[in-house]
Order: sequence, then C-alpha cells, then structure tokens
Amino acid sequence: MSASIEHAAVVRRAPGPTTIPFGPQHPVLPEPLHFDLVLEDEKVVGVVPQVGYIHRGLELLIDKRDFPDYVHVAERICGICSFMHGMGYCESVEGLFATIVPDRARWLRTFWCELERVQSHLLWLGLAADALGFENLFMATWRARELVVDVAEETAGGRVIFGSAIVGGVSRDPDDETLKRCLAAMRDVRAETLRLADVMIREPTVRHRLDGVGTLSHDDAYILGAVGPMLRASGHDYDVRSRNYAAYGEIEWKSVVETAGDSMARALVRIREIEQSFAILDRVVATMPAGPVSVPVRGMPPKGESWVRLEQPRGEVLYYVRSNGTRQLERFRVRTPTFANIPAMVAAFKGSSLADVPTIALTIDPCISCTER
Amino acid sequence: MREQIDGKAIETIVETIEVASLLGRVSALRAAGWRIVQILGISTDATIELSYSFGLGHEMRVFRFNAAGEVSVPSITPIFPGAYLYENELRDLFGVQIQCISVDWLGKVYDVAADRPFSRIKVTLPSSEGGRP
Amino acid sequence: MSTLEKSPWLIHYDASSCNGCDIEVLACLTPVYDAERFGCIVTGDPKQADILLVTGSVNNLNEPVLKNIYEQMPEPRAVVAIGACAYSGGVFADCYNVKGGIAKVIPVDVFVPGCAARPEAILDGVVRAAGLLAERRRAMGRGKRGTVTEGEAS
Repeated sequence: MSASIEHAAVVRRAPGPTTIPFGPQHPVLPEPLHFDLVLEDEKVVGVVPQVGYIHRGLELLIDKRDFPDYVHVAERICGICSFMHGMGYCESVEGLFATIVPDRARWLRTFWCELERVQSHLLWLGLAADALGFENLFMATWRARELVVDVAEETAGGRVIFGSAIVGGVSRDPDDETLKRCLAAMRDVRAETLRLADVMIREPTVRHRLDGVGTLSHDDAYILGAVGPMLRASGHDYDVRSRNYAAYGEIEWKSVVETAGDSMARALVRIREIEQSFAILDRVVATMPAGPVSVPVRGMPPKGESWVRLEQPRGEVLYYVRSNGTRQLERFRVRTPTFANIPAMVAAFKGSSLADVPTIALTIDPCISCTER
Repeated sequence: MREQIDGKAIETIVETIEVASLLGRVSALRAAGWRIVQILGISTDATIELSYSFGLGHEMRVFRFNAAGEVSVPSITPIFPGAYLYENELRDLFGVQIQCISVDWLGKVYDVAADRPFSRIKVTLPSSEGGRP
Repeated sequence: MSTLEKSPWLIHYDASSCNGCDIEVLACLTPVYDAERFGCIVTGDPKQADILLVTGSVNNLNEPVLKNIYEQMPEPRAVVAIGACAYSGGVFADCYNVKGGIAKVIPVDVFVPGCAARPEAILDGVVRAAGLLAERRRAMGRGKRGTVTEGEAS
C-alpha cells in the first residue's frame, strides 16, 4: 500500500512560472474581476484577464426596444457612469436625426457629466484608500461623496442611475436657485476632498506603494490603446472633452496630464480632475442659459449611422448606432474605456510584485460592468 | 459616416477595402502615428461587416469589409498588440474567422450561453433560440 | 438575543449587476448609512459569513461561483437579493446571456426592490435577514452540538 510512497522521489520544485488566480470574488473590488497571474517567485511575468462574469449582451436589446426607450438600458450599462452612458446614446441618436439640442439642455448635461465625474473619482479615491489599508480615509471619502450623490438626487432625480437623459435633451430642469444651493453645499465637499486627497498623496506609506509601481511607458500607453487618466498619466494630452461636445466648448477647462506613468501619476490625474470638475461645475452654473431643456424627436429615425465620443471618468467612450429606418435601431455599440484599457492594464502589471497587483488594479479604476456589457 | 457634436456633423473617412490589404493599410497607419480606437461588427442576414476605427487626435479613419462565411481575416495584433480583446469578441460573438490572435481564449472570451449570438446570418445559425432557457 | 442577530457578517457577490446596486451596498457600509451600527462587517470569506448579499442576475459563468459561495456558508444563513435584476433580470431580462433572478440558483429570503435599490431599502433587507437568522438559529436548537455544558467545562 505504501510502496508507491516509499519509492516516490521527492523533488524540490524547480523554480519556474506558477499560475495563480486573482478574483473573481476579491475583497478589493466590488466587481468580479478575474486575472490569471503567471508568477516567477513574487514577480508577475504574465497576466491573462478572464472576463465574462457580467456579460449580458445588452447591445442586442436595441432591436427589442423603441429607440427612445433604449435610454433606460443604455443608462444601465454601468451604474457609475450612468448619466454619460444615457447621454452618449441620446447624442448618437440625435446625430441620426440631426437634432439640435437646446442650450440649457447642453449646460445641464455638462453639469451632470461633471457631477458624475466627481462622484466617480471620489468613489475611486475611497476604494483605492481601502485597498491600501487606509480604512478611515475610505470612510471619510464616501461620507463626502454622499453629499455629491444628494445633489444628483435633488437635481436629476436618481442617486446612481440619474435617469435624466432623454433623446432630444434632458427630462428635468432644476431651477437656478436649486443649482446655486447645490453648489453652496458642494463647497464643503470640495474643501473636504482637497484635505483628504492631500492626506492621501502626502502619506509616506501610500507613496511607498504607488511611486514607481506599475509603470506604463509613454509609447506603450498609446500603442496599446489606453484612454482617459491611464493615457494622460503617461504624458499624452488627450481628453475627448476638447472635442467640445455639450457645453465644453464654451466653458474654460484644461486637461490634466502627468508624465511619470506610474500608479502615483494615475492617482494624481484623478485627484486633480476632481478639483477641475468642481471648478467646471461652478462655471456651468454661473453661465447657465435660460430656455427649454428638450426638443421633441418624433417619427422614424432616418436610415444611416452615427457615432459619438465622450470623456467618461475612466476615459474615452464611443457610441455607435445604425438605423434601418424603423423605430427599432439596427445596431448599438458601445466601446467603453475599461475595455480599451485592459491591454494597457496587463502591461502595467508585468514586472510588478504580487503584493502590488490589487493596488495597481485600483489605480486603473476598472469598471467591469462597462467592459462586458 | 458622420460624428455628431451638437448638431454639427463631422465627416469621417470610411473606406471599403479588401481583406488582403488590411494588414498593409493598418501598418501604414501605425507608422503614421495613429492609434486603435475600436473594431466594430455589424451583422445582417447575409453579411458581417467589420469596421476598424483608428484615431489620431480628433480625426478618425475607418476601414470596412465583409467578413461573413469562410473569409479568413488576419489578426492585427502583430501591429496593434492591444487589439486582442476586440478580435476575440468578434470571433466568439459573430463567428468571424480571425487567424493568429496573440492572446486567444479559444472561443471562451465571455463564455456565453448562445452560439454566435450577434450573428444574424440565416444559414449558419443552428436554431433561432440560441441559449436562453 | 443571539450574537447572530446582533452582529451578522455580510458577504457581497456581484452577479452580472450594472454596479448601481453594488455602489449602494458600499454606501450602506460607509458613515452616512452605516450598516456597522447593526454589528455588520463585510467579509471576503464565505465561511465567516451569515448573510449573502447578491446583486444582479445569473448567467452560466457566475452560477457555479454563486452556488459555491452559498454552499460554503455555515448554517443558519440568509440570502438577500438586491435590486430588480436579482429578482427577475430586471431591464436585462430579455438578454440572451441572462438566465433570470438568483432564486433560480439559490434560495432567497429577502428581496430588496429598486433599480438601483436605495441604501435605506438595503439596510431594511439586512435587518430583516438578521431577524430570520435568529429565528433559524432557534429552530436549529441551541446548544445541541459543539457547545460545552456545565460540568464538562472544568
């Protein structure tokens, strides 16, 4: 019985690559993100992302819904950028109709876009702090974020799914007094956010885990197709807001660029963008024109195709629609920022140590629900 | 094709090309500093139209061709290594024959419940109700 | 009052949700809604968890993961299905890769309504599940197994 054991040679495993799974149910991420990490000792030498836990196939719902009703599905591509998804779909359909949206609707769209960016970046700041073991910073950030979410609820009607984008404009029109009151409420959030971000970037233990970790070179970021803060942290000045959609052409703003390409640079880009977004919100409310907030979009969409690019908190997103002349569009496609960032994320992991994988994953701010649709 | 920015439509160059010239055209774009934006698939009853979009600053160019049936499409991952997700997606969801993708999930990128759910080609679909129980 | 009722530990699994409900679950744990005042802690280990919070609907890939988490949890346990998707698939019910609500895979005790579910509703669901846990604990019979009776202790 024991003969086989006695004769078995005990061989110390030769040093070589080991594959270990990371995820899908991982405490650092609320979403099921799954990588197979190939390790040599503690060093990551290869990464294979495994997706599909959240794939729903929602692009195919486009021919089961009338085009104005699909906004509800588009908003639920992802709960973090819900307004921008709804608005991107609406803008692409407006492109088919060649509809011109009223000025106030453009300003309100800008307002909600920036509100969403603040909300999303604060969410990221909290999760990143939590991944770094900085639990009270996580709690404090999310407390500040709740005030932003309250403003979203008061102005748009929803906390996470805003529900205010419609084809032809927006469905809600908060009056100027409400907007000014919301801005005043957000001054506290702004000061608190600056304080928290300052704590985060000055803390030596945080710097130790972010400085020089997960570096993505200038060329790699571009060739691998990275977008958003990931691309800008590697020194590329590419922000889709410079295409001047919504009201960005009439409001002063500047894209945030860092050059180091490491985890710290990505964190700094987002932190500076929070501050920038607060400033844009101020300017949007100060220059908000009066007038109607939507125009009716009636009838069948003309045959054709149209696409729109927007800058989401995670980067460039692309919406494409094609119409065959009926109420149900033929094809809807969204290329989300995390989808474009996955190859660059894999490149950032390579050469890092196993212990750094969760923090690098968070500095990329992945949104899996977007990616898999 | 036009891109919409608040009523102002921006024309984009869309070129219909031959599959055989794909790699050559894509290499030329990369050499000129363009980056990959997306690969899009659209299926009708008889065709699967692939659109490869590339961006340079605010400009965009699109290469388009039909890849239905037995058309063998070369992978562009030797030129743009980040394109593997798009190509796996096209193969699994549309059934496009893409050859030699650098990172290959062998038909399981999403592990979906239906066979080629995005393809509407009548002949090759095994049954109308794919996998929804 | 049993300790389970006083401090249920939570485990959260996102089964193909759009993130909306997941954000609200996280919001519940942070200071404004503060589920920790009920003694809740989120754990990543199913064997330490009493209440399973599930958002989103089931597909082929996450079905075994969800079952696995549920089966590893010790009795008594409770499942809270959060949001419209976890009930029926919600807005995505017609998608080809959505099998439907999570009740198709594991028994659900509390359904929380909403798309996305509001934090107040989620808190209410957790509190109800904690009540159920205490009931189940009593029904299982306290002290039958694994406890030390007086006399043996010394």
